[in-house]
Amino acid sequence: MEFKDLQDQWQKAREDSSEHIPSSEMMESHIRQNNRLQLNQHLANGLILGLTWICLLLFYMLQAPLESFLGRLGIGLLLGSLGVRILLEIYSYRYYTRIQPTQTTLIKESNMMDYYRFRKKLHDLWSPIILLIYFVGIGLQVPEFSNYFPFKQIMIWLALFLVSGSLIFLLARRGIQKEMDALRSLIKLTNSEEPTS
Amino acid sequence: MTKDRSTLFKTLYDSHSPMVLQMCMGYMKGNTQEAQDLVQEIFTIVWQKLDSFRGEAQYKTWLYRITVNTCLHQLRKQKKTRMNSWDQLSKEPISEETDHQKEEQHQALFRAIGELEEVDRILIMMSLEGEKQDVIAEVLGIKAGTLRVRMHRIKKALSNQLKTT
Repeated sequence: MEFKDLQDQWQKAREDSSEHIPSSEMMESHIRQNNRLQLNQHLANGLILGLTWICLLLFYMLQAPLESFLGRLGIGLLLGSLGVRILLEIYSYRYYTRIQPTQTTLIKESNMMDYYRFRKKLHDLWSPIILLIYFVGIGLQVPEFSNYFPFKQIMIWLALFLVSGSLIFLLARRGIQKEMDALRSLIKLTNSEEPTS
Repeated sequence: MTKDRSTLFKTLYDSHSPMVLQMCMGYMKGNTQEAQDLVQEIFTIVWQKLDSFRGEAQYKTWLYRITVNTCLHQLRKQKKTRMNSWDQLSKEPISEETDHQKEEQHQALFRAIGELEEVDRILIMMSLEGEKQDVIAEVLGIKAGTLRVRMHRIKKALSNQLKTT
């Protein structure tokens, strides 16, 4: 089949499917509605993360005000690491939203690659450090908590934290790796060529 | 400003939505629902970015960039927030295609395009749209010379793919 025939077939298919395109007014109203929903979703995510942190803070202030130096240090490390992780997530989101979809594909994909490099560094370097500090923070509270809870219960509690934390970390890392592989195939298109604006 | 934006959006949408839908159909291997979701996402970006259009490219090139970038990004999304159904927006509901032979031909073309690599899909669809290689190069941000050999190879691959389906 000649390429011209394919173009004709492509045009016919286009005519058929274009009959079902909604009007611009409908699309505009739909977009406005979705924009509001998306904004609310981001606000809700931020609110949940912030509230989790505040709840933990309140828990330690009102329910479990540890008195030993180690216990307090543990609380500081736990809340500090969690706070830093939340801030990094907010920064990461802002970084992502600054990548313009109106740039040339090559520049956009190159920016996306930088973004994923940043995410990879976050997950390969900073996340393990933060996770470690988080676990140290929990560990430092164990001696004082053991005055109130049985040893077995504390061990189960620690194991659950360790397994779930590690699992989330590994899954996120695998996702980033997949994204980077896909981007590499696109960057290959340039060969030795530099992006043009 | 909102009125101007609405007018401009209407102009762009009326002129280019068939092209955008067709590109999305090809990219999504003829999956209508996924293509429609993608069209909504593309025009959401168009709406959001209308103010930032600085006239450095033509509107069509600008729209192509958004379409291509959104398509390429789409498959990499692991979790996708489902938008409201297009069926609720359509002037007329999407009915079962009565002309099965015609529909099957279209689907065969979409499937064949869908077998190509992601970037190749974009390149061939822009070519099927009748765009010249310098326009395609401008959208992607590469030199036209780089495209020539590749385009020849993609056309051959598509032709072979259609023979086997």
